[in-house]
Amino acid sequence: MKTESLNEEENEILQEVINIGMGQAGASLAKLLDVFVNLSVPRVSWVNDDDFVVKVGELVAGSDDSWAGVRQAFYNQLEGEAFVLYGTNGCGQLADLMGYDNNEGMAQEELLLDVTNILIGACLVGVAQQVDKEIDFAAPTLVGLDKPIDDLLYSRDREWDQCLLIEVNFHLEATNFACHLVMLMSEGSIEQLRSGLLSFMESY
Amino acid sequence: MSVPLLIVDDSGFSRKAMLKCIPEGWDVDITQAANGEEALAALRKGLGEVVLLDLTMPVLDGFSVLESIRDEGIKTKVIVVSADIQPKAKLRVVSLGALAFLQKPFDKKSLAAILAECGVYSED
Repeated sequence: MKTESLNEEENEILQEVINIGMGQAGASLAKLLDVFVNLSVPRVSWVNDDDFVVKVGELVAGSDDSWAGVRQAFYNQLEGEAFVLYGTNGCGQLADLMGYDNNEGMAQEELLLDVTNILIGACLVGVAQQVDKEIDFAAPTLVGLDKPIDDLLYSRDREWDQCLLIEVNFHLEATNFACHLVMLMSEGSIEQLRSGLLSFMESY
Repeated sequence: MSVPLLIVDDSGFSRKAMLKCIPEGWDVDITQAANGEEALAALRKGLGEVVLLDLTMPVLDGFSVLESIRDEGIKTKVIVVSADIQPKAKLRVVSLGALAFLQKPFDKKSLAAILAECGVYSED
């Protein structure tokens, strides 16, 4: 039997916990790039693993035609994998901002790995801290550059029970750079998350 | 007399958390708003002598609310309560006229301390 995703109240708390994680991620990104980051309200939804690729496709539709993707696995009490998806146009702007030449493939790859590590790390550590759960990370890996979105999402470790889609729009002031963060989690992790969210609520 | 207090946050959970953290001895008349436009509408009606203001919100964000308060010359005391912890975000809200910045997540103690610091409520 599959775990139901969170109920309305639990999702509301999750939204706030993610908001706090995103605030930490945005501050880290601002520090790395020395720019002001305009944060948007993260939108949170759940889908089954089977629908993951289609739903992510819908989420990012219209914002870019080709994408770069970086994935990073996490484990311990919260276990799953996360992807950060970058529109190719935005990647170019990010490279410009950091003073990289667009033709330097390796440098751009390193930049995306760094930015992903910061975003996923800060966001998930922020969430894990609020819900008082342990989390560790594997190194991020580049899934692809300049690809259609579908190509990036099929390289997964395994099937997951539930996918948490978090639409985040980190918009760097004076650029078009924006990226999306999506996460997949195991059933056990969702139970951990649920118990953590309830304790977080009771702490008020 | 009760102080008109306006709580502005798009998250219902976050508004509830703020309500729970309001000092018990503080005589306030509370209005809630879920975005910047609702906040400005309440402010124009005089419902926000003190405002607890979130920054990241749909429709109209907290930065824009502060700009409108300044441009319209609305008399109010704003404390920003946000998860946006960029040093530049704090500088911006203060330059736009906010009295103080309270980082999320907060608790009763930190809210009471900020209220005291801003001279809007003191336990003594």
